[in-house]
Amino acid sequence: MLSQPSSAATGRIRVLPPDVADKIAAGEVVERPSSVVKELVENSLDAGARSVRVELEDAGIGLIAVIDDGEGMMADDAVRAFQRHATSKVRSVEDLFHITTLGFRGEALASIAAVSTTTLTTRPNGDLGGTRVLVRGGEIVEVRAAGTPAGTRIEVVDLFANVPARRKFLKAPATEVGHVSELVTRTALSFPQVAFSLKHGKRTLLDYPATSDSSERVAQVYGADRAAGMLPFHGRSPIGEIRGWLSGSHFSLPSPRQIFTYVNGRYVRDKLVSHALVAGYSTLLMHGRYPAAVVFIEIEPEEVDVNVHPAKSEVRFRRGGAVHDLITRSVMERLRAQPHPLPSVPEGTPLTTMNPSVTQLHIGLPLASGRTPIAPAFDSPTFPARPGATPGADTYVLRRFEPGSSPAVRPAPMPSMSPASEGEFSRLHVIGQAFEGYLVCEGGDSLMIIDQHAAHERVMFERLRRAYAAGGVQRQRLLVPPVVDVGAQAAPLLAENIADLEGLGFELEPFGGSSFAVRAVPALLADGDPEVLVRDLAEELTDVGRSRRLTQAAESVLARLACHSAVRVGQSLGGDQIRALLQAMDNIDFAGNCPHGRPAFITLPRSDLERLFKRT
Amino acid sequence: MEFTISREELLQGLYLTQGIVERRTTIPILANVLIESSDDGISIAATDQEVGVRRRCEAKVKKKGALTTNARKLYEIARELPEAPLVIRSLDNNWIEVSSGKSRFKIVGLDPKEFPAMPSADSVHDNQGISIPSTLLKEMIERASFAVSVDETRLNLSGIFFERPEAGQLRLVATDGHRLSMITRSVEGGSAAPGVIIPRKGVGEIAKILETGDETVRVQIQGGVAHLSRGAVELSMRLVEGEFPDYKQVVPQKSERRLAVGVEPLLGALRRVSIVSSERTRGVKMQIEPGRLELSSINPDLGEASEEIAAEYEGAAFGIGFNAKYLIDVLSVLGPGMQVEIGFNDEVSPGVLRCEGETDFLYVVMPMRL
Repeated sequence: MLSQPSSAATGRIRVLPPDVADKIAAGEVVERPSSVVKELVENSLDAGARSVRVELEDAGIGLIAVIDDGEGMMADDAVRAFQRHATSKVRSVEDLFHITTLGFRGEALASIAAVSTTTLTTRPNGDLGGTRVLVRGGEIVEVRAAGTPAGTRIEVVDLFANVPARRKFLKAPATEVGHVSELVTRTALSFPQVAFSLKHGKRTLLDYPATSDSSERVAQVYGADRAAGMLPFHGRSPIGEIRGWLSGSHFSLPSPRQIFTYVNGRYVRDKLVSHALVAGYSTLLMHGRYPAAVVFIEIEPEEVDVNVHPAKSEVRFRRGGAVHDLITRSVMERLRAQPHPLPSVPEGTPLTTMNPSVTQLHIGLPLASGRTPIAPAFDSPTFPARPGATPGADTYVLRRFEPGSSPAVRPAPMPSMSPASEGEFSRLHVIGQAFEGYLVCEGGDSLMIIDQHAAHERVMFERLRRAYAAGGVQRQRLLVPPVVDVGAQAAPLLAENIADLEGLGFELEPFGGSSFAVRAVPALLADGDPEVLVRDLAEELTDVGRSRRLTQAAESVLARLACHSAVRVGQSLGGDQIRALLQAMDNIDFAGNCPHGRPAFITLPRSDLERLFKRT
Repeated sequence: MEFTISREELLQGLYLTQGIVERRTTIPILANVLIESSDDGISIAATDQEVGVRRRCEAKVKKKGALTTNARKLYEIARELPEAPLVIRSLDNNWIEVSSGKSRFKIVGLDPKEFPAMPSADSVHDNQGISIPSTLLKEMIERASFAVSVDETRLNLSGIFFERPEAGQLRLVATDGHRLSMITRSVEGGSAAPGVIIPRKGVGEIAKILETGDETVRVQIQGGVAHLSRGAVELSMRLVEGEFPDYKQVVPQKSERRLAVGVEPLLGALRRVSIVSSERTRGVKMQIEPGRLELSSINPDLGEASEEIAAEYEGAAFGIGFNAKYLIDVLSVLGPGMQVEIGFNDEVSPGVLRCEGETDFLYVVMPMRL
């Protein structure tokens, strides 16, 4: 349409016909079913609803209905609501800087109506008659009186029917429903006093009854078990106030998906906010791991500009540094006061007194199950005051040990039988472990420094990958299959891939709702908690989404599982464990990088060392 | 306080405290023992606030009182001294003097009033406890403890489940989610009582007080604490809070295929064949045919191994995979001369191992899909 033939002489720049302009504008707001739901749910909340029901058919393409019991509209308001920039929420430019409602642009309904067939049925509480407005492709087709419960019901059908390009870019139904589900969840977290529900076809995906207690809502969302482990926190500074819930340091996830942050009640996905949050955990989280958290920040409306992005999940703070400080400091203070996560099983429990066979687990490649809480900073009186500071750096020593002193746990291998022990890595002379994260070795005419996590991760990844390539990962079946709720977003993805997941070592069985019974896990990773494994799997599948088939995504799934089961930085390794790791490194085709692409080791030639000391 | 004690008696008292005092404690007094005078001697106690032990020792008390000092150092001192009576007395400011023959030590102590209380229920002295011979409890623990989970995050699996299913019975169950070991024995006294989870560290300490002799052990469970007494020793520990899995559900009602085989040949073959299996997963395949059992393992990195042993089996040929460690663990705690029966249904259902002639021991192991 933009390139209509025009006579060469006349101007080439034209004002767009209104329907085209509407569709372009709509594109900014209405990207996919979840954006429709977002706008409608926010309208419901701004209308004071106590109950918001969302119903989808065909992942929102067939129908999106949002039903509330809010204040409703009179007939003329109902019609005006469909005009662009019609809003009851902002009247002047001044108001834009004091926004306290969720919606404010006044373009949501118009935008939605431009790309669908929308029916608005509404009745103000106290009025006897209601109104129904039918809008198709942005044109008001019909306005008539209608009987209806107090509140507003909006039904959107044939979404993007007139914008085929947009429809083509929608993801698989499971993914789109997942987006809606996430949206409802994050909205529900900030409005505990409002009941929310989400249905897809006949299935109820979410159902959060209203509650006066926001921690009750957190429990509804995360499940009672997980919520019980979350630490409530609170902080305050001249710039504002922060409160919410944090997972303890013993819990982490491979993606930030379970971090929900709100500024003045509005959900935001802001780099500054999430960076500040993770910085508060400092070294308690491994690189690439994230906490679960619900964080509410209240600051003066003047301090924050929400009018940055049409999807409104980004904000701009006038004093970003002060906000960052408030978040990081509050999180840090709360975590410092955190009780030891596992008080009744002290670290270093002498298993040997009970049963020698238990310790055998540590003879082979060790510690895969070692999800030992990484909490050194708590024991240290010098908790880092700044994010990024190394806690108690002076306590790290380069520990020496005699390579030959390993007690007789492993029988000395006969050289001819064990070609692996002749390899490049196992021939290294181990000098020690530095910073509880790096193995310092001498070999030939170089120093080699090995990142223990990256190296072990690579080893685990190669084992899994090789097993997978050789026809399937060995599966250890479980005595009591745990039931894991993976969340509405991941559940359909797991369900679709159940057969292929067996090749990765998982046997899952749908268990109603978004739960699965875990019948078997990869034998290589069987020492760990099966629930954690399945949650990681679910996270990875959600990340990969449907852009690739599972069979193609297998490598990234295996990489994530390997990362999770590998030894951590901060874990001190004994001589045997180091030997076992080096030997295992010889057994794989070592490209030198961990599956995330970071190097697993570096070498420092003697000549370079000598140059550093100005000996040459 | 001042008392004279024989070296042997002091060593015995201190020995039991060594596993309990904390190595890397943030509370210094938890690295100490508490020595108190009693009517007929002294008692030596240690606790990490989860597990506590106290042993009465014969000693000649010259001056009553209490003292506390570092458990390891006192033990080392006693061990290195020649066989002769020791005199231990408290000095000012909680210092302690240990002398024997011509040796004298002056070591620091802490205020005994600061010493934390043993884990204890409000009132331990009920009659609901059970009595059990040491050797019997020792055997039961041996047959259960190897199956306890090593995953520290799964608290409810991190101990042995002690249950009294019926009056006069004690049952121990342990599982790590892949296999489960269960042993039931008759004991004196006690009505049926719901189970409790005894923490792994506590199990280790119980095993320690059972090491020698065959005196009766008295076990009482009350108010979140397990209390054991045997002769001069008392042991108490806080129970693990959490729900133990419903183990009865896990035990298959019947097995369609039954294989009978000797512990010794099976254990030997498993050890050999699993040498080449993957170091971590120890996958071994069992191919069962009438009259024989073939074990095999394949490891793409290393090679393969197989071994055939004689076994009683009638029925169709059948194959199933297991983590060899799970079988080796259980066979290692059974008598080598024993005969075991392993029941199967299919290659995805649990295998059930029983000892011939014993109805009260049972081991369930989940297969591995190789």
